[in-house]
Amino acid sequence: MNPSRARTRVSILATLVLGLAPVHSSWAQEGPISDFQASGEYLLEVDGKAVPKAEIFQSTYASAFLILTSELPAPVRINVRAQTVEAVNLMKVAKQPDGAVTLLPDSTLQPLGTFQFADENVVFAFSGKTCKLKPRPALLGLHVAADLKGYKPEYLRNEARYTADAAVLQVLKTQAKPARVRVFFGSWCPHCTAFVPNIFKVEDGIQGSAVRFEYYGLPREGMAAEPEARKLNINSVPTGVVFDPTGKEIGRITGEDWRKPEDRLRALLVASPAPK
Amino acid sequence: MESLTISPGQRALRFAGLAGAFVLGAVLLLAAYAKAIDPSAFAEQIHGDGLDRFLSAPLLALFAIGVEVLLGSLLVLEVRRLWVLVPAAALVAFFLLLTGRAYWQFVHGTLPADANCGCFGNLIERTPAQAFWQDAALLVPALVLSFFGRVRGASRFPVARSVLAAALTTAAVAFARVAPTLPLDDLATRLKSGVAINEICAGAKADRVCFGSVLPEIEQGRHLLVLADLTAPAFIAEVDTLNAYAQGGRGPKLWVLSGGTAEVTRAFFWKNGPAFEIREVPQALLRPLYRKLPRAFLVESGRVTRTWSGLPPFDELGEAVRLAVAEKGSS
Repeated sequence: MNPSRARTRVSILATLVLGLAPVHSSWAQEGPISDFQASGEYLLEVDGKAVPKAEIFQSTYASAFLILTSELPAPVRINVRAQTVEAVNLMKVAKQPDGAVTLLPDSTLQPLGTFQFADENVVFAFSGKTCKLKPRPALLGLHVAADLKGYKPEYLRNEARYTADAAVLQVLKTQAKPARVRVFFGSWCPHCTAFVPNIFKVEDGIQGSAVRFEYYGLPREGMAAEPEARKLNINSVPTGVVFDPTGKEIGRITGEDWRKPEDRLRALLVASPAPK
Repeated sequence: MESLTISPGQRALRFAGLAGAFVLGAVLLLAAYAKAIDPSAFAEQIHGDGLDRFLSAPLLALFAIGVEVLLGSLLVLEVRRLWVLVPAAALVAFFLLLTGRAYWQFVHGTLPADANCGCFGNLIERTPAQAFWQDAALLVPALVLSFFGRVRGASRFPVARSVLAAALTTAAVAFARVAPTLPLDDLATRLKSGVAINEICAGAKADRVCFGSVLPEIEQGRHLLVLADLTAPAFIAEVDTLNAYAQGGRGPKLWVLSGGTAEVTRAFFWKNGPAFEIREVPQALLRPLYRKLPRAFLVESGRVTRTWSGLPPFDELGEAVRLAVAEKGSS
């Protein structure tokens, strides 16, 4: 079924269920809220069952979350400032080409009461169902870039913001020695969310070269004690470890290198011209 | 007629001794000054080192500042009696023990490279290794030299100079006591007008992180940053004001920086509904930027152009804010 048609049906059904006339909550939305961005911070559970396909958006401006899922009769807005939850009219939810969502004025269908925040979870009720937003568990172990991008939309947004040096990418693509780059990261680490996407751009830009990339997620607690981290003495993330084909470490991408990881890779993998 | 009775060799020794005592005294006075303008950071360091078992950390901080100023000023005033040199040697040994312990922990992976080493307060950025070697290089030769060429038979207790040192000590402790209330933030911290955000860094070599890396968005344009403790009731009480400013959209973009964990940030978000961005910043990067929270600063094109103790004057930064807050308060 076409998802947008399905949502429209859900919306019509919700309008009938919740009453034909929209009911306004105590918090009146004056204009459209256009900064709802996809968020990977939370997972939705409905009646104890995970809903991985639920789309969760966050608006900093409105201090609000918006949840879209076919598991609930209508989209839900959590108004954090007012500590309230309300069902919103799907027809007032407009998706933008860049993936952001705009909530149009007069979107409220029905107030659903308040939410509870306890033990890191946000709990509310909708149509007799218990809904829970839980912090997403950390992404651990070995992965490819696509896994990270699928895990957290913030990675994709930050990748789009970064422009790698095309000339350096060209040099890497044609002259880099064969190597494997293992990027140790923490999906919980804001610094990783900001900078690991830079290396996604490098990876995409040197496709077809002799350099391979892999990503290794570490836990927040006991990060340095994780066996792989301990083996390679990883004390902070993100850290990129560059290996030659025999598995010998050539060098690392650390600290300020992450601003332009392609420069560090060039330094490690492209032989400098022999002195005359 | 002393000059007639001492040989050139003795004179050289005496000069070396005076120079050593002066250098050691000056280093102790400089270190005491850096601590006195931000005694709470020093107290935190004492607490972190577990030295406050018998006396509270703030009291111990004042006591330590007093001892450093007393010994430092006596040495600068050329009082090289054993009752000065022996405690000075003990103090140097104690400093080296502390920095050496941190260095050992760092080498053995139990202390991060960006751990603060407190000896010079928040003014100087040093790694555990730098702290140990710098202290050793600065203090040990000066201490050894200060024992050279002492005049035998001199008065055991030079009254005038001792009284002067005691007066300086009293003044220093009194200053340290009131320093937190004085407008000395720019002097006492690394955050001041004119500093580029990428000059504010923590850590060493591979682990070095600069402010621009934590918040790359502020390298361009105008930004208003507030350093805050998200659990402080006084800050929580100001969320409405900050929200009104952020939603007004007329002034520079607002960012709140916290050294708290993700759990603290999440709890603050869900309980208070901020309409501004919150970023977690490593404590090692954040702590040297303030004496008391909140503290705010304006960044223009990657450079700090203004700082404020407490929250900034939002009405100056976005004229609509005060009206918005008043409107919200009356409704």
